[in-house]
Amino acid sequence: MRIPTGLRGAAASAALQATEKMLPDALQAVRTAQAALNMALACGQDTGPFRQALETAVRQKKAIHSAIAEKAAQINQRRQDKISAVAAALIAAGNETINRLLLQYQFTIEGNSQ
Amino acid sequence: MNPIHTAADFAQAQADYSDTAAAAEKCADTFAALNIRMGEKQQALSIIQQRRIDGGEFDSDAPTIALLQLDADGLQPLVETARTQHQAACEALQQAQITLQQCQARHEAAQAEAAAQTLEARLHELENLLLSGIADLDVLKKKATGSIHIHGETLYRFSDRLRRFLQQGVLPA
Repeated sequence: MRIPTGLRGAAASAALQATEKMLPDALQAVRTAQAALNMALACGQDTGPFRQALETAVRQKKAIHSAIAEKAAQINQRRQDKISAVAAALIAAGNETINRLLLQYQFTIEGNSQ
Repeated sequence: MNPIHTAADFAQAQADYSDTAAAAEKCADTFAALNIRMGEKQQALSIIQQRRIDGGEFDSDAPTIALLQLDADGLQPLVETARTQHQAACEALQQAQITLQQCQARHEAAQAEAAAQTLEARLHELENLLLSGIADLDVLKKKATGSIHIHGETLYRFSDRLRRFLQQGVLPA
């Protein structure tokens, strides 16, 4: 299982979707491993290998869940960063307008009696 | 209205619009692709039908028609779902556009208000300077003429443009 990381834009969204698609198989693997362990328990077999298989399946499922959460957070963070950058540019443009006005109506009060 | 807040809202609306437009485009592509597939099935059926009308009948027609019909029947709910999703996406895009326009208008109004406040404050400073200058002028003219009182236009004559604005509210050109 390879979970891609550090992608941007559409690639990040595609990676998130690809990771989400891994989840059903991982869930099925956990269910299968659990069923095999139950069977081994019922038959009095050595449960060691089955427990190990279940642990591995659970670990993989957790890794996918973590990757999904991480990617979703990254995508959201990048979106917020982009929004903040646009907002900052809008504010800067507004300030620029005000500065131009102040410059246009600049005057000196030197020689003013008050 | 604070331009910082309206800028944040405007930027958010731009991002929302962009996301909604991308989703709408995806829905439109899916809908178009399904429509094309449905069209192909229907066209294949029509060709067979026309050929049979023209006298060209094959034994393989019956299973082919049945398969094509099954495909078309299977595609129909997919086309309907895609149509509904496409329509919903178009409505969402329209709403996002309205929100974007409202946010833009609010931001431009807030910017104009902030700029107006700045300019108004600057004009008050200029007015104070003008009045200070007139007070100085009063002192100088009294000294120059030896008069005790100097009033009105003798002291300072405002320009016609300014007087028209003050008296009639006519904006200077």
